[in-house]
Amino acid sequence: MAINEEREPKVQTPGTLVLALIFLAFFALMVLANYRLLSEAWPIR
Amino acid sequence: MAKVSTNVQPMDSTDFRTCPVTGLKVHLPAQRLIIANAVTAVVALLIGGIFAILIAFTRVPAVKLLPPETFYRLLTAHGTDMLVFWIVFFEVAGLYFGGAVLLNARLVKPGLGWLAWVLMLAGAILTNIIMLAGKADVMFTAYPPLQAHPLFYFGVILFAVGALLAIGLFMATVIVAKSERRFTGSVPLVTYGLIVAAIIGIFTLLAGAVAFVPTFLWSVGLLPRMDPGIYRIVFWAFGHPAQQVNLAAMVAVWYALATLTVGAKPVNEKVSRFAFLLYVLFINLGSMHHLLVDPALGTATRMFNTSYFMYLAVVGSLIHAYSIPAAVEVAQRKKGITGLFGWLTRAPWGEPGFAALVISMVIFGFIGGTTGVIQGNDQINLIAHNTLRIPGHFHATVVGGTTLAFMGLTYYLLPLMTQKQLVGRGWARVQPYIFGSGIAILALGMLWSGIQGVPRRTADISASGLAGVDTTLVLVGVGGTIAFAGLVIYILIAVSTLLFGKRQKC
Repeated sequence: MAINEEREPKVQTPGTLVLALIFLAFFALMVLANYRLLSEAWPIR
Repeated sequence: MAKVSTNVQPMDSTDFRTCPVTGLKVHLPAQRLIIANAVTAVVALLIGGIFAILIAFTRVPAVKLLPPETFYRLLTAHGTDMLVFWIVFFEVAGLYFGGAVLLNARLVKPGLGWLAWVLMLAGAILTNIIMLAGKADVMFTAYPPLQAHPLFYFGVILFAVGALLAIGLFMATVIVAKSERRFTGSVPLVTYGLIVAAIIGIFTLLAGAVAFVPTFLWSVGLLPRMDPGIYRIVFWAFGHPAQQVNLAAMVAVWYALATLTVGAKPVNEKVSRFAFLLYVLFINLGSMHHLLVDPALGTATRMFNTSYFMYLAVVGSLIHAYSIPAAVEVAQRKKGITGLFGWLTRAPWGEPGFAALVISMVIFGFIGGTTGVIQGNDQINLIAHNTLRIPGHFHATVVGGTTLAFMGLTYYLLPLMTQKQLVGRGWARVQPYIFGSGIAILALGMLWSGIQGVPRRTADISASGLAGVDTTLVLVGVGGTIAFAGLVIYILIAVSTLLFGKRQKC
């Protein structure tokens, strides 16, 4: 099925890229914090 | 692909009006149905919101507003009114809008739409009466062996049949619009997102029938017993995809708001459509994350469905999370705005749709998304399950995300459908900020309390011996109050516009 665009435009979105990196860094931090919580709940002996 | 019929039926011009601002041809029977469903949704939101503030203040240890029995009763009603009635009624309004108005088409069988509305309304009223009468204190999940009054299950089934009819009507409308050549090429991306929501909605409602019909028969004594393990699996084949209908509809609304407020166009429609497709293919498998502590299921089943398949659906959300801000950035830069974040600092922050879009995306992504993926992990779920961390996650997704996005859309849908000027535009400008900040505080209070071990669905935790949780639970009360104020402002704007708005041409 045809899509409503003739050709894919070239776009530059540096601001969105920075926001995406901030989000990924935040997500990584949350994952690390949760595994810290997990190790406190069940310390590896 | 099969050729579609090219029998173009003439439009009956008396059934249509053309909005001079948007150029949309509005099918009047569709318009009436959109208003009826949207108004019913707002009434459900008000009822669920009143229950919400009472529940929030019961969770604050210094207040403990409600006695336990009333707490559980209202918690059941709050979950059902908000997660089902408010959102589905609004989504049905959205489906008719995306299927008929956006495609300049007619709603094929308006009578069927009214039948669907009556069934859904009857189901919602019946269910509420039974819940408030204390005959269904079974929580939103209604896990057997807890048993409610038969009319509770019957009410849910009535509502589901109505919703299924509405989805069928939407699908038929899109197909007929295509065959009558009301649009050229593919459907607009917003309608495409709504089609995805409708497809997920169909298997959601079918799973709901498999869960609730036997439970109804059990409640009237026609089935000797219910297997709780089987019920839990089938219930979540309904319960989780029901939220993914919200997810797909919310993302469709995000694209619509980005277009309406800054004129954004998707930077790559194919990628956005592919991301929607990922929801259809994989989101239902993520339902298993509700059952991560279920003793009836093996570890391999649980981990395979959650830690692998669920991530494929998450990829879809990550694509949208990049695609929509990128579309906004491109649209802003086309206006000559420069600098790394000039497109954000010079964005129309006073436009309620733009504020709702950004706040909804931030709360959904940073709070709801991260916590959802993390808590959906098998190991972490063992300590998060049945704590306030879980409601903390889904209040960020369904309320901070979906509800706020729907509120933002209302400010554009309402004047278009009622042909009346928005009353209280100044209040509408600040409403997304008030509601969003309230929900963010509420969700963070729940998450923080849950991390300390505060259980969910518990009226009184004084016997648990948890120390230091009073402060974080106060955040639930504070956030709930601010969010409730935002909710009241939204409802007042909607009702005032409907009743007292100045007539305008659109």
